[in-house]
Amino acid sequence: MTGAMRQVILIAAKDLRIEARGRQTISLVIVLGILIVVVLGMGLGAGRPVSGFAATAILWVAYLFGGVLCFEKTMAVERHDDALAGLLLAPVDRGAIFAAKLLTNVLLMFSLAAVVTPVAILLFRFDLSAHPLGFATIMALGMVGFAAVGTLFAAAVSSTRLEGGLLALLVFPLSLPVVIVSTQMMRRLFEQGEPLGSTGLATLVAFDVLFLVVSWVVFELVLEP
Amino acid sequence: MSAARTILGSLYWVLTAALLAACLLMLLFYTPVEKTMGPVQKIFYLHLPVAINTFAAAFVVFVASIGYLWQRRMWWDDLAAAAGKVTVLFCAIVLLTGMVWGRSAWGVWWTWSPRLTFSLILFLLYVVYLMIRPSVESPQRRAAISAVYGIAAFIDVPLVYLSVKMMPDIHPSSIALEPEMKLTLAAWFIPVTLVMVGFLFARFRLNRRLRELGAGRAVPEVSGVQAIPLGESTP
Amino acid sequence: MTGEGYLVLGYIVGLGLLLGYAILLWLAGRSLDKREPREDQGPTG
Repeated sequence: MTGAMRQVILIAAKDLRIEARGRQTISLVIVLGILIVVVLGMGLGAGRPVSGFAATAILWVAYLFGGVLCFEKTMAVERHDDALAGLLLAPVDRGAIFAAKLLTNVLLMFSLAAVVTPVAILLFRFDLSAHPLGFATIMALGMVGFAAVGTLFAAAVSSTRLEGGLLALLVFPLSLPVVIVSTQMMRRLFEQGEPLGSTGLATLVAFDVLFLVVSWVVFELVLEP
Repeated sequence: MSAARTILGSLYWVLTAALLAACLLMLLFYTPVEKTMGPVQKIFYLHLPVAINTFAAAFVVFVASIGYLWQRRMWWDDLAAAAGKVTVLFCAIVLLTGMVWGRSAWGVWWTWSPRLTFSLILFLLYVVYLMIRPSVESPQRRAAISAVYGIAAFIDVPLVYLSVKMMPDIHPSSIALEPEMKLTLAAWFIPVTLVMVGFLFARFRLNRRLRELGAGRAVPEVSGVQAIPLGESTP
Repeated sequence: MTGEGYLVLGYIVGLGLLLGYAILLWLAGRSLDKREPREDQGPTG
């Protein structure tokens, strides 16, 4: 167990170190996220206060597109110089590779959210002060499930030369339950003042657990150099 | 062998068409009109059996996808592809008949009611399944990626169902059916299921034959495609 | 449009799509029947 944990941390640390030195992915993703928020803001007529309901939808658009770019980049790192072949030859459990990639992706998405969310709050005057913790819980749970699906399919399409649009096409429809649940939960939380409902939380947790398990089981079947 | 198969196939389709016609006559002359919703409620007898068969076809995609990942035999992939097509076709019918019904009942073609949203997402999930297939060149990669997606999409369905249940609803939650209505509904299940199975089988055979044709013609082509990822990753 | 009108529209759309797909499948099968003998004589040896 501890050996597997060490492998996960080593691979994730390697990916994060590459990211920290180049800062290619994160800067790209953050700028893309801000651009999306700005474009949507102009479309919706910025300046007017936006409800928590609309806030979730706007933020999810930014997270979804940014997330797909993150998943692509973390897999693309392994494709340069046949790094993936080396990783597959190393005595590392495939599950550990999945866990490490997932960890990297979740951390990248959290840092994306940490920058884009305050920008959106500033630009739109979202009022999240009523339930900041509820907002963070919903978004974090949603992102973990989304990252699990994304990590799996990024690995699946990484050797097809078609990732660009293909990955978004694969991941978006599968992630719709997360978007629906989080927008509906935000509507209840901010517009109707209800506490976090257990149905919504249970659905989000079920999504996370199901796709974490499925991705972990299936991951090694799609991983090819 | 082939002639017997053709005759059997023709018999199957004649029987299915006859049953379908009988069900239509039953609908016209036997089934009573529902009191609150009026004649448009009769769309239900096509709508529900097609919806149930959509799930059945999606389940075939799921099983065939697991079968492929387990055994790596190409005919599992052909079966999954056939079932994917049938799922999309049947889901389109569910969606369109539902929209016609909604237009008559509420005066709008589309509302974000849970059930309409549910069938729309189901439709999108399996349209994507069909869209990704031709965009992967290597047959083995295509089969593997589609299988993973086929499994994920089927697992997604209950989650979509749970999530749309959180949306505000204007749908009738249940309809009290008279015995004649129940009988009509049961009768409609037979030809609709026969059509689903027939389409699935016909499409599966077509896919098999296409694969055999392709394999017979393009052996060097196929091995060339497989060599590309290896050659390209060392620029 | 009346309720009957929508009912007929619903069945035309539903059964029409089924029929359309049946015809497509039949045509695809027939074009394969025509192609197959020629492929057998193709460059196999």
